[in-house]
Amino acid sequence: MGSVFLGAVHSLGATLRIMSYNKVGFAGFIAVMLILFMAFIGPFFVPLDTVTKVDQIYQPPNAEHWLGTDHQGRDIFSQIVNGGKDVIIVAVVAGALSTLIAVTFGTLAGFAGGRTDSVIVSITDIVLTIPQLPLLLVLAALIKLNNIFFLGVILGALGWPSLLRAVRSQALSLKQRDFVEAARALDLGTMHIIFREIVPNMMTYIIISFALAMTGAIYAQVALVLFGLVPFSGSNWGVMLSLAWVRGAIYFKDSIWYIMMPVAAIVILQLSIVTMTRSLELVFNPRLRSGE
Amino acid sequence: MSNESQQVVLKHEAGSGTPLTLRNVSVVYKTRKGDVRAVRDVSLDLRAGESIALIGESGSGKTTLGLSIVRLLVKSAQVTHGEIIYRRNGKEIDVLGLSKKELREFRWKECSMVFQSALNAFNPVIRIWDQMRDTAQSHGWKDKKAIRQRSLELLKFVQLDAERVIDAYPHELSGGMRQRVLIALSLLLDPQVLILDEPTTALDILTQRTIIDLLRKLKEEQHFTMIFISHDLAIAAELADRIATMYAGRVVEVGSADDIFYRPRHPYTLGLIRAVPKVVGDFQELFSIPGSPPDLINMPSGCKFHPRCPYATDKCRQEEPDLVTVGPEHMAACWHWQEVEKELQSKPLHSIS
Amino acid sequence: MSLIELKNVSRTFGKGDERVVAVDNVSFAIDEGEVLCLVGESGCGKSTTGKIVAGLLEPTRGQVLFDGQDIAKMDKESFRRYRHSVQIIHQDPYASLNPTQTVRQMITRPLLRHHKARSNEEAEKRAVELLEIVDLTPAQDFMNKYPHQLSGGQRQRVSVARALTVEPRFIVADEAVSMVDVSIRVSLLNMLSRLQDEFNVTFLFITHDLALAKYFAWEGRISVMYLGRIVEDGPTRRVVMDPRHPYTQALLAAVPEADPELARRKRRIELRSADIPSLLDLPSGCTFNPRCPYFVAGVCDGEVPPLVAIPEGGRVACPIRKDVSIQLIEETPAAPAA
Ligand SMILES: Nc1ncnc2c1ncn2[C@@H]1O[C@H](COP(=O)(O)OP(=O)(O)O)[C@@H](O)[C@H]1O
Ligand SMILES: Nc1ncnc2c1ncn2[C@@H]1O[C@H](COP(=O)(O)OP(=O)(O)O)[C@@H](O)[C@H]1O
Ligand code: SF4
Ligand SMILES: [Mg+2]
Ligand SMILES: [Mg+2]
Repeated sequence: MGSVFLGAVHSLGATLRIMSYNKVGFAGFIAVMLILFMAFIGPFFVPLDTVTKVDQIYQPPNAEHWLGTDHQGRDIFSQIVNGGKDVIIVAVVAGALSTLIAVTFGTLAGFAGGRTDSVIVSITDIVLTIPQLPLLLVLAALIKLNNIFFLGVILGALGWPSLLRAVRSQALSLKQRDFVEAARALDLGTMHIIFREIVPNMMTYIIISFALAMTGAIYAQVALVLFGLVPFSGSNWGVMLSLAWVRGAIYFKDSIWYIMMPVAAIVILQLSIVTMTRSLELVFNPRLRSGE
Repeated sequence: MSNESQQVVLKHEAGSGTPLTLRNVSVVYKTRKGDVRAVRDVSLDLRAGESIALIGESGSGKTTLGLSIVRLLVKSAQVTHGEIIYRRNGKEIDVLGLSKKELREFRWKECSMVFQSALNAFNPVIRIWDQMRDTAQSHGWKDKKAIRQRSLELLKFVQLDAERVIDAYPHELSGGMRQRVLIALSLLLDPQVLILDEPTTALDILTQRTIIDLLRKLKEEQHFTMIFISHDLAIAAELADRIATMYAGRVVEVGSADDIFYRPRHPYTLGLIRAVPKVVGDFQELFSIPGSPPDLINMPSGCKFHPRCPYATDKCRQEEPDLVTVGPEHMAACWHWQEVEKELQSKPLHSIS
Repeated sequence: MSLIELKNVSRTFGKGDERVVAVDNVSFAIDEGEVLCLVGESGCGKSTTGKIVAGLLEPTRGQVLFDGQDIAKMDKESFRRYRHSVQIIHQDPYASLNPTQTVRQMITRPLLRHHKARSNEEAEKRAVELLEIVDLTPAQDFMNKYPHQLSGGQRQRVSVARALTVEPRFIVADEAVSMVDVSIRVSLLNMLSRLQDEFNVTFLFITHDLALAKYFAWEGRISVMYLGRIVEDGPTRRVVMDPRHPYTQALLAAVPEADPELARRKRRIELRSADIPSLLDLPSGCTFNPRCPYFVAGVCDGEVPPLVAIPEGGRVACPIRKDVSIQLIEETPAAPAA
């Protein structure tokens, strides 16, 4: 996305090189790649263990079960591998949608001003005042939320207002910049000014917000599963957590692994996404690339 | 207003001898990209009652040198070589060896600096009076009345409406007024030496003039020993007895104001003078210095000015020249200063006969 | 017919108590190929005037004529032509270029968009030519650079090259060299002068630095602004050598000179007050009257004095002093100011 905005389509190699300038960020990027690989390719190699083995319940990690077993003696590792896909898809859909809405309308409001601005701002304020979790609870009661895309869309449709406000105020200040004025003098057109002059200068911010929107969506869906409102079929880190909870796993000392593993998976995913943004910033902000 | 302020007399005792001596001072900033050699091997003597101007383009190390004298360099900076010796009443102080506590005294009572950025760095919620009182009290003044008296006198001396200004918040004052308050503040504990970093930069012309006239008064009536730091040659021409030109962290020429402006011997000084227009008088042609200032991390070999210098020869590219005497009290660091002299004989710099 | 003409242009900002008149009833005309310098202290309305001339800000009152046509009444096509004919160069080299674009992008995009080049290759070729015109050579070395990789002077040159993409007839240079180092300033000015000579570009050169104005507009004219109004204008030589308005005189006398002898011999003009009035609360009549050493009660604080033409050239907005010359340099060195 950024490369298109920037017009400077870096080659893949160049992009990776730029990202590697920040070691921590690059580590985050690698971690994200590994998690994606695990979640989307992994299931082909590690099928979900669905066989109940009463003699193996609540085992700690060992050679056979790398991450231990659950209350039915099923392998936790296989559940982790198989349970990431849905979580990630919902996060990406929700994050992308809310960022898209926020950036498009936030920039438009800031740049156009006048009535356009006041309409967008009022709608934002209204959405912002809706308490999200209760609304989701109500929604979940009314409609089936078991379609992951649908869930992502709903989370995204509710998650944009605060980002929009920030984007709008950034656009307002960028609009005053001399280089935007120069672009106006050069008659480069509104689309050019928004997408080539203003938005690229907000990319750092947008990326971080995208990452935060994704992690927000992860929390939201886990919460929904935990409340038992999203009847997920199959395996999912949220479902695992919910099951562990329902089975009272927290009361058994041995079951610590069962409850910790999905928590760890979620935390590691979030951490990786957030650290990765450091490297992504470099791609979009040439000033940060001191290596050049 | 000016009449009234002329009656205010500061009781400043002009020192004698040489209050400040820098010997081979070098300062390095440690950065991610490498060592920035901001000041290299600078030696200067500052005589009592004299004002010296450090001129040179931005990035030439002027501020860094000033900060190293009052020991206010940032942590990443390090004085790698040299000595700074301060003298008063026959006593010598090794400035680089001062303890933290001694430094606080030193900065207000001996050698105070008016910073360039301080113009915006006033604490916005503190009144001028509080600022002055805090400063005085932290140096052991107890008598509030006396502090107020002195503060008012100083504010009057810098030609401010003292009674009004002393109870004002910084934002209620214009840039020029704040600059004058800063000068008054720096005089509070009657230091011997005053260092002013870009005292007029970013001020309007008429305001600049009031500051210049004020500084001239400090110099001519009170005989303060002063260092002016400025990229603006005009400040030097207006105020300095002596001028030191800095380039790439080094003093490349030092001499009396007239020597520097009419008989410069370093090609860089000459270049600067020929690049700056004057307002009064007939049209005069200007010349720019080609190229741009050097990267202080990877400096050119030999004379650091050689890539931009019209006189440069192989020798310049290989060996860095030291300051040599080129006239009475006049030194320049250039292998070919005699050629500069010759050129000036055919094209003198005097604008008015 | 002048290329650009301002007729009684005013511009206010803010409402109610906050309302300021940044530009007040300003009129001037600039002929094709001419240089007009707008000088004055910061906040006097220079940039606002420049932006109005460049069509980037609408005047609250008055007209801007381009080639004799009122730009507010132009049809789309004429306005487009005007838009492309007038470009602006900003003061701050760190703000005037988009940090996320390379020099190539900044220059080829306007070329392609406005069909000044039909293909990428042609745009590339033209970009190289433009960079050479502004003395960024070898041009290829600069094409892939981002602004942060350039020095202040180089950035200003890129700004100029970018403005030249649309082949402007008129350039507003708003403090275009104020923020670059002295050693580089002159070459920038000379480059701009060359545009004037070679491409017949007309300039509105805005600066707070009278010495620069004198140098750049020696063959042109200077207009002196004070608190939103023009108080004096005329041929540069006349304004600099024989200023008439007390404000112009005060400015010229106050400018510090880079020459010790001159500095000693320059005449001092004492003002009655060092404070600049706030735009929110302007004095009546001539706005310089509270500071002016020649103040005459009843005249200076009555009506706003109009700009009146003087035989030596130009106009002066001071009924008291418009016919009186003063000497700016004392014959003998002045005694040290006390
Ligand atoms: N805090 C700092 N860290 C790193 N480099 C610095 C720092 N401050 C100044 N410098 C560098 O030191 C050099 C001299 O700077 P300075 O003393 O501010 O010059 P001047 O006052 O002549 O403009 C410059 O190249 C500048 O970039
Ligand atoms: N966009 C704006 N909004 C409000 N006030 C403005 C705006 N632009 C300029 N002004 C005010 O108008 C006056 C003139 O400003 P300006 O034209 O920038 O002066 P100059 O360029 O001579 O320094 C100033 O007092 C400034 O605060
Ligand atoms: S030493 Fe050489 S290069 Fe350096 S200033 Fe002198 S002539 Fe120029
Ligand atoms: Mg400095
Ligand atoms: Mg301006």
